[in-house]
Amino acid sequence: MLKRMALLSIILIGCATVGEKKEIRPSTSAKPSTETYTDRIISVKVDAIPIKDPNSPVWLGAPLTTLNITPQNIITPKQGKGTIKQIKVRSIYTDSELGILITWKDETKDVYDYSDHFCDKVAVQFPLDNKNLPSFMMGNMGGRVHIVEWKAVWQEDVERGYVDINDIYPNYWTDVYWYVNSGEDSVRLEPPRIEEFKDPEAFKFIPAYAARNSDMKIERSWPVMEYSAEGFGTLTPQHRQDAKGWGIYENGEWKVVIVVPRSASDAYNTQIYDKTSVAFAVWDGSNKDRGSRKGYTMWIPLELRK
Amino acid sequence: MAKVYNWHLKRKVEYPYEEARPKRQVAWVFDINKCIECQTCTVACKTTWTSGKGQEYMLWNNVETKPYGGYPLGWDINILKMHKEKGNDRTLFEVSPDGEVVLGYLPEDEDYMYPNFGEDVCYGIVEKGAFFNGIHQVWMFYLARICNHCTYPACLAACPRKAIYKRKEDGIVLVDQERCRGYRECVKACPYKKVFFNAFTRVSEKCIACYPLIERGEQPRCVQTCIGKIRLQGFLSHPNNPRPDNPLDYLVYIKKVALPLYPQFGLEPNVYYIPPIHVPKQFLYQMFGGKEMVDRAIKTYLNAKNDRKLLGAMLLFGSTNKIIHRFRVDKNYAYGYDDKGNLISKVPFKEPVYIRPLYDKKRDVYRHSIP
Ligand code: SF4
Ligand code: SF4
Repeated sequence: MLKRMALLSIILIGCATVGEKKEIRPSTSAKPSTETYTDRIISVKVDAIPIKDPNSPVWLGAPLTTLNITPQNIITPKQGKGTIKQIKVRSIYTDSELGILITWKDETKDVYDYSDHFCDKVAVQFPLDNKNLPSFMMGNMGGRVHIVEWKAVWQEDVERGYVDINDIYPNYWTDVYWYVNSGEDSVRLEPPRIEEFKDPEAFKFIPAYAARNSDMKIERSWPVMEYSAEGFGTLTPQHRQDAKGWGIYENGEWKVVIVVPRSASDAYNTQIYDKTSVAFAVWDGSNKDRGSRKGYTMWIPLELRK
Repeated sequence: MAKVYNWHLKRKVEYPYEEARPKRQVAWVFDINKCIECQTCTVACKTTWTSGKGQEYMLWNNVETKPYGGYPLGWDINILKMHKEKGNDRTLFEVSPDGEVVLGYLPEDEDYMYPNFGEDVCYGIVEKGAFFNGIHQVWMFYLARICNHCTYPACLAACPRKAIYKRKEDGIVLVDQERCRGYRECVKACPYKKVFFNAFTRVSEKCIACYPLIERGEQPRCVQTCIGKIRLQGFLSHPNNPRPDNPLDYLVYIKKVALPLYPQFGLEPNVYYIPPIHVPKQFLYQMFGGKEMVDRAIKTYLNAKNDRKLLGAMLLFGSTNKIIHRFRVDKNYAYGYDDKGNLISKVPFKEPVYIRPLYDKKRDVYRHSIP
């Protein structure tokens, strides 16, 4: 049954691709794979990873793995009932990079993060030591994991510029944004956008920015962040950000690509030669998922097919 | 959960962390009988701390009119209802649902959109002619609110990142702006709804008790600017060792004239209110810890005119920008001292009255209504 569903979704993804006339890139594995799994991920070699194109047929050359998502109800705060039941995963690699495409059904596209609204997210976790697997729940003391997270709001930041308060609340306005409105500029018809913050003094009035919160980046090249963790509550952004990614929302489904270097000089990153393990976490903004209120998978073996 | 002592409730209560009282606890007394809801405090706070992007809607200090006002909308009614459903004889920590640290709710976006809701609206309609018949029975009062820098903060307890901390030296509760990842567990957990999410930085923020001022011996902005002189900020000693010459200890521990807001939640909040004396007692009982506490506070307050030490302590409100650590009274004055024993405030019990003649010979002018 699972396999049949998986096959059906290959056909559906295939149709969507053809229907939308996406550019087809040359690839060594353009032939769609018919293999399906539920207990492992088989990564296949390609010439290049179409990072920004989750619909590229290159992805279809890799076997499809369907994974069940479990609501995180082990530690507090718990998720309770989860809304995302399954994710579908494909993986491809090159000499230098490993790519993972994660797709899942989500009826609501949640992009902005404000008051009681949360954005959709997905994260991929790798062990630093695949022989002694740490806890699948963000590792454990001494068992470090390497996590790459993608957020819908970061995708928006990258594609359209940092999501400003003007985008979420067009009528929000403070009389004076210090060091921004001055002289003739002070009479305005709409509140200034962050791009108009030129004087470094103005940024002192943005607390998390001034405190160098590494999640708070106004300039972002990729909608993903790389972290290290050794257990719950220890998620720490890495100094060096090597991961890339891209996400699109189509027909009630998120399709997110996450790419990591296979062999990085960064000691906090996982090194991927012929195999590793991965675990996933997904968040549905509409379900008010965030932090440990999430759905997860256990460790899944990932094999690089020669 | 650990068992910690809550002196408001006079019993051990549940809390996720062990009891760790700061060396001294930052605290405030608000005499809300005197508040005129001029919102000077609100504006002082706003222009000092929340004029940035994403802070537009934030009011770390707000003053709402009871019984109808509330920012965010219905914050008190909502949590009281939830608490009641669980049987409100236990604290919010003790009735936390499975998978939660504490009973709480995340306000909706719209809840923050009406900070002035119910402002100046009184409880009912003043009946025709009541103006002329003396005192009418319709009431309302102003409730000035800031973060309570609780002894057992729910915001801190709920943060899975441990991004919220309570300073050892003064008990100020802060959100680490570098560590926070915007999960809003704190916003959900704080029953007073005094943590706010900044949608621009995607990080939570809250009242910082003007710690740069406190660190140099000055009271926070909202206290310094208060037109009604309703506020006094200082430090509370350990509840077992009150010092009668510390104005905060004296008003809170010894005279018990100022009361915590909704102590039944179990957070040991550190803003203490002198209850408004004209409001129906029933309303005050549910807010300020019950009949015994409220009746005694009001009785003590009404007797202040015969209690020079109490009156003296209350005269020091709004008399200096500096933090008063010690006070004393004599026949004519109340005196406030800083932590080094320097005199920083001297307030007469009776304002001197100068009567000047209608005609000023020296200047050859007539004075009409100039005091
Ligand atoms: S400044 Fe003082 S009197 Fe005015 S609203 Fe604030 S607390 Fe009340
Ligand atoms: S009032 Fe709320 S925000 Fe302030 S310390 Fe208490 S729980 Fe935290």
